[in-house]
Amino acid sequence: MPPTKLTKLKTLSIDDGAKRGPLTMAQVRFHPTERVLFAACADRRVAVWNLDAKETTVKNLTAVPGALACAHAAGWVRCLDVSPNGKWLATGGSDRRLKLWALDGGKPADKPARDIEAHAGWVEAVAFSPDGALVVTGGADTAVKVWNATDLTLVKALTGHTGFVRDAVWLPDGSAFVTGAEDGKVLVWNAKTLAVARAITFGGANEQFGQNPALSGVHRVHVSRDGKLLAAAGGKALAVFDAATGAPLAEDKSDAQVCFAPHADVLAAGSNSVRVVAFDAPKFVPAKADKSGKLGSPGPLAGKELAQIKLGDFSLGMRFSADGKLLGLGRADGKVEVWEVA
Amino acid sequence: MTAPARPVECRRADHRASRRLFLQGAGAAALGGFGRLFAADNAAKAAGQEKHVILVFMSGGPSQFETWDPKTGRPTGGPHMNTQTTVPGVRFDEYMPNLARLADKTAVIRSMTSSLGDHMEGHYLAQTGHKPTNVVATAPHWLSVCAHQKPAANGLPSYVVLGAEQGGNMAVPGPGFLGAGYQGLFCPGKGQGPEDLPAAGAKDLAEFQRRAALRAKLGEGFAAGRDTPSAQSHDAAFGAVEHLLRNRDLFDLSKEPPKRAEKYGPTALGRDCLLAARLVEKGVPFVRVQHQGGLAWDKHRRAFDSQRHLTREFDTAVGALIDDLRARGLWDKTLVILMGEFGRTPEILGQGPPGRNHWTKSWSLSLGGCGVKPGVVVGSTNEDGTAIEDRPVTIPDLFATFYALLGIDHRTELEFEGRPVPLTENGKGAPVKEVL
Repeated sequence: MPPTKLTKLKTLSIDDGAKRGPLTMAQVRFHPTERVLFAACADRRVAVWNLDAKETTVKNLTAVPGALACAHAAGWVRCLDVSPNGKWLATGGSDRRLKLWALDGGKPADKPARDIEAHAGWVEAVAFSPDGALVVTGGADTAVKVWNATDLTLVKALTGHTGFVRDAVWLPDGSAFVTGAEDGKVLVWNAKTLAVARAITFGGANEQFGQNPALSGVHRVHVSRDGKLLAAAGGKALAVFDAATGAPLAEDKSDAQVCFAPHADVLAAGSNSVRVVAFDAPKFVPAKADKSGKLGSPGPLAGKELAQIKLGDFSLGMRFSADGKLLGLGRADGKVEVWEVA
Repeated sequence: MTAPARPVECRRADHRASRRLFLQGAGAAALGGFGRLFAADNAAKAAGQEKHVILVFMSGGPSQFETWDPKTGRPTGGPHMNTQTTVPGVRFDEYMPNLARLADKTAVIRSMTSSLGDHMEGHYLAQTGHKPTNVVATAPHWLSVCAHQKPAANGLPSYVVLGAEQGGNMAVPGPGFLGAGYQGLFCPGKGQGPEDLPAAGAKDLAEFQRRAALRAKLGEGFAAGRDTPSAQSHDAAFGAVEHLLRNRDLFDLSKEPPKRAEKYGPTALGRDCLLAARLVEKGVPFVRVQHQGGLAWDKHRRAFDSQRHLTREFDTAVGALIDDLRARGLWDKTLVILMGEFGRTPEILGQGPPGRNHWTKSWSLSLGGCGVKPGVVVGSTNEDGTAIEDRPVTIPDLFATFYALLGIDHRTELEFEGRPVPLTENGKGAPVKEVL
């Protein structure tokens, strides 16, 4: 049965008391087996919450307080991922470092098991392969790198993007991984040959002109549970592609954030108002070429909208839990909302 | 039978040129004081003009944390890392490798402090030296004052403005009570020269001269007994147009070797910095360069991601500018100033993707060339950048320094309707001796 509704379960908060503003969220990840949620936020450490901990009320805010762990020396943690077996947490920082932290019951070790300078620029994306053997990273140096997950030795550095790489994700079967960058490109990489299998133009790359420019190019990428759909979110729009061909299948005005549910044909997207949609892929209307061969726009994201969550703030980082029953939505004000998907 | 002489008539383009180039209006165009140039007193000033200024204005309020005063690793430090400069112990933002390389050629003030946290008021203060309410008449841009005090020689424009900012005369103050004769000659940016000039070519120049002669003859009667600034400005405007028609290549970047242009980067700022260098090389004394319109450095939201782009293009363009001025022997007589209207808060805000608000309490800027002592860092802030630790520098101090570097006594008083108007706010301020 596909889910039919979402209910807000609880709010998580993080604050170490330092006077420097809220710890705005950037990415969230659920532990695959433990009731633990991790978040990369505006800090050099990772925010960690026990989802079963009691909520407390401080200054009219009732929330589950979190802890800060997995410290980088400076900068901010820009990306993180938990290994499929739940034993490792990888963090990438603006300090250029990639760190591997052992997890014990979801609790990170005090010191990293591995700590390397991974990129000549901010480490912006990290993703474990489905078998846990490899880690892919993307950086502000435009490089994509593949690492052995056990010791963080470099398998290969890949070139293909011309802008800051912003996100990376594997296909569920491990046959390929996908990267998105500020150059407006989505690249699908063959996991065996480590060559670009498909280059998809998402667009939206810009020169960041003026006071409040839209995000340049691709900000987030994700792949559906069956590996057939690939979604990319940028500054103003969301596009869904056929992962096998790169053909545009659907589009939506949701911006910046996107993730698919692991258990059903459900997609969440958007940075201020989050749409959660039970999509109907057979009803997608792919983009067609006109007489001159120019590709038009695909149809809207067909399906049933389960919820439109107006956070009153930006959602910055979103992910479903491994069983699909929870949706975590990071917020700009240093909180994460956890929604129950039923 | 020869055709009758063509009657002298005005064309639409002429009106457009005189209106848009030379008459007042927000962000509109201007002239460089040609009309007065040949008056005896100004001729003497022009003969002594040897110094130049290139002001690269970072509208919106650049963050001191993400430029010249990083606090990497502190809670207020943000995600940006820093890089070692050529001055031992001094570090700049990681996206300023060229300015870090040139740190031993320039000076930084890390202890600027001011009081107006509104963009337009801040722009006005940081470019006139006066608060909007402190003078009886609209204060002139300080480069208009420079054009008044040190006009160009050889009929060149004294002051050129490259690129616009929204907000009109508050964002880019005009000549104020000095009159239109000291307005910067406006160019629209991206390396383009003045807009709406009459068509090029000898024929058009001859036609313009015929019309100018007629206008001058008719104007003689009008001007008799009317020695008003506006009449002078009107005369100056037409003189300026004629000069520009004769010197179109002044603004022609196609004359620059591609290898020179490449070093500035493929951006609008790069083109304008190259044009600024060209103008200075040709003898234009004062140039204001706008870095992007739309308050580009005003990063309340998503500051740290987008500023990587902004800072990188800024560093590339101004780094090339400084290298170029040094390579061409212009550095010692050209004051390069890199600044905005204020700084940004130590607190990182969650109004969306993180950013910083306006902050006047402690901020940074950089200057170099024209005798500025190289490798100097003036003042400091505390470890979280929340307050100045030593050597506060005020806006009057800053302008006293600018004027001192140009050989202008900041205690000089201009005159407006018989009243003395000091160059700095109420005549306050003292030059920052550390950079002199």
